Amino acid sequence: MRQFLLGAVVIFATPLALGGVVQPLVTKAQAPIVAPVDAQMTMGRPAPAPHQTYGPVDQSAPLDFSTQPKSVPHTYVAGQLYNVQALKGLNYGQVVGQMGLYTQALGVGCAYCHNVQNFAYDTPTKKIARTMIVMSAQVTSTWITPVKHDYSNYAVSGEVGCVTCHRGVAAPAVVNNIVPVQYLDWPAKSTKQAGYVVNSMYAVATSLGVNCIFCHNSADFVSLQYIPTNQIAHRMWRMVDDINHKYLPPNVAAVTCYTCHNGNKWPSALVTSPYDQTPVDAVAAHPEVHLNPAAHLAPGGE
Amino acid sequence: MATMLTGPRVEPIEPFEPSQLDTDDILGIRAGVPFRLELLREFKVDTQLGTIWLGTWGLLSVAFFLAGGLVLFCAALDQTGGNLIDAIKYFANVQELPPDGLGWFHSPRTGGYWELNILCWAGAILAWAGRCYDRLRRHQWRPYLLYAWLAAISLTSAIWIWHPLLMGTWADAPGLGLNSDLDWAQNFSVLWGNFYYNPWHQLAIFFLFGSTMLWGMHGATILATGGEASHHEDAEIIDMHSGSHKSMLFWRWTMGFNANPKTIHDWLWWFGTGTVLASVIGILTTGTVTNDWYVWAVDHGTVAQYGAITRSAINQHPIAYPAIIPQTGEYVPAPAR
Repeated sequence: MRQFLLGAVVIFATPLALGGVVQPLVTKAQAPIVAPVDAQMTMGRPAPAPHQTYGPVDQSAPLDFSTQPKSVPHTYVAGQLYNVQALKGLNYGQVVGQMGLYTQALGVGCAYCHNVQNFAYDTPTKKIARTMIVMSAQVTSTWITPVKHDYSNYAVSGEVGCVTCHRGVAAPAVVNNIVPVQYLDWPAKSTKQAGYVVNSMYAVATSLGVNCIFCHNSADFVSLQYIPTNQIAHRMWRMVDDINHKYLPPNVAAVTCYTCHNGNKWPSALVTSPYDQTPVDAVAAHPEVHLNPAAHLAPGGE
Repeated sequence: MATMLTGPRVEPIEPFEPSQLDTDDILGIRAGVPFRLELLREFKVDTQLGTIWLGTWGLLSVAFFLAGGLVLFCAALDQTGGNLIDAIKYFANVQELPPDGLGWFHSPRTGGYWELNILCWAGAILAWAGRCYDRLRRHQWRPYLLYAWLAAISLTSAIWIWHPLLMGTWADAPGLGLNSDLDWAQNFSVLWGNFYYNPWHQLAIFFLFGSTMLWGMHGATILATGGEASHHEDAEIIDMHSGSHKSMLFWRWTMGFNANPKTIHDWLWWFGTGTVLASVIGILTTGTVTNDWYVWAVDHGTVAQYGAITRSAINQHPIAYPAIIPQTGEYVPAPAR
C-alpha cells in the first residue's frame, strides 16, 4: 500500500511542481514577451526594451515654448481650441467628448498626455496620442472598411476605437510576435524560417481561438487563393505590418493579432455607439499630421 | 541466424595492464561512499547508490555538459532581459536558434549561443564515447555499448551537422532549448512535405515500436517466471524445466518461435540501433533525394493524391506568393531570395 501511496504522490506532485516552470502549450502564445533572438521576429523593428512605458507627463518640468509649434500660445482663452492637428473637423464640445473617450479607453487622466499648465503644449505622450488618432482613422478607412465591404457576410457591426486595442490600460496586451507578411513565403528557405511561419500561424490561431482549417484547406494547405477567411487574414496581416511600421512609436512591443482579437474570431471590444467612434472623416482627411515614428523622439519639449 | 545477428565470436580487444589502469588515469578513481536510499525499496528496486568511477573522460564530459547548461542559462537571461525570475520561469521557452548560412563566430543573438552550445554538446558526447571505450577496454568487453552510443551520435550529428551541411545552412538544424528542438521536429516535417510519408521514418517507427514491444515481452516474461527463479539465467540456460526454459517454451508454443536469454538481447540491440540508423538515412535523404516526401510518396504510389498538388506545382508555382488580391487586383510580389 505504501508504494502505491508514494507513487500517487509522485505522479500528482511532479506535474504540480513542473506546472510553475513549464509553460502550457495552449497559453504559449500569451506568455509575456521574450526578447526575440532574431531581428525577423521583431517585425523589422528594434527589439523592445523590457518594461518600457510612456508614462504620464512630468508636471514639474519647465515648459520650453521654443520647441513648440506656433499654434501653442503662452496663454489662452477658455473655450477656444489651440494646436489642434488631428481632430481638426470637430468643435469644442466634440473634442472634449473625444478626450473623455480616450481617458476611458486607456484608463488614464488628462495629465497622462497633457501638461495641465498648458493643454495645448505638445508632450511626448500627446504626440503619440495624436498619431494614434490618425492611425485609428486611417486603418479604418484603408483596411477595415474595405474588408467589411468585400466580405460583407463575415462583417460584424462596430468600428475600431481606442478601446479595441487598449481595453482600459495604457499599454495594450503584448504577446508573441508574428513575422512580417513577406516572410510567409513557402516553401521556406530553411527549417528555422519554417519555424517562424509555423509559430506565427500558431500565434494567429490562438489569437483568434480557431484552428488551422478556419483559414486553410486541410487537403491542400498551400493553395490559399479561394478561401475568404484566408484572404481576410492576409489583408489583416498586412494591416498589422502597416500599423507596426507606420504608426507605432519606436521601441515598444509590436502589435499582433491578439492585440485586437483577444482570443476571439472578431475583436470583442469594438465600438458600436456612433458617439464613441473615432471621427474617421474628420481625421483621415488631414494626412499632414506627422507619422514618422522618429518624430516622437525629437529633442526638445520632452 | 545467431551468427548473422551477433557476428562471429571475436577475441577480446587487447586489455590494458591492470596495474597500469589505475595509475595512468590520474582521475581514474572510484569516488564516493556507498549508501542505501531506502525510498527506492518502496519501488522494489536496488537501493545502493555509489560508488562511481570518475575518470578523465567522464569528468570532461560532465564539464562540457555543465558548460553547455551555463550557456543555455545565459541565453535565457539574455532573452528575458536579464530578469532572473523570468529566465527560470520561461526556461522551457528559451531558444538558441542556429545562424543563417554556414559561417561561425556569429554574435550571440544571431547564432553565437547556438554555436557555443553545439561545441559543448559535441565535446560532451564525444568525451562520453571515450569514457565508454575506456571502460570497455578495462573490462575486456566486446564493444557493443560503444557501437550503440556511436549509433546515437550518428543520428544527432546527422540532424545537427550533416544535414545542415548538405543544405548549406545551419538554419536547418534544430535550435537548442527545451521546446526548441520539439518545434524543429514539427517545422522540419512541415517544410519537407510531412515526414509520415518518409519511408525511412516509417522504418524507424517500426524499429522503435518494435523495440518497445520486445522490451515489454522480455520484461514481462522474466518477471512472470521470477517465481521459478528465471533470474538465475546462467544456470538455467542449460537446465531443463527451469524458469528460463519454460519461458522459451512458452513463446515457442505461443508464436512458433522463441529467443533464448542471449538472443533476446540481440533482438533488442538491433532494434535499438536500427531505429537510429534508419532515422539517419531518413534525415540525410530529406532535401537531397526529394524536397517533399508527400510528393515522393504520391510519385511512388504509396499514398493517394488529394487536392491539386503535383511535383510541378510545388516546384514551379509557389502558390502563396506572389499573389494577386482578387478584389483589388493588387499584386503582392514574392520576396527576393
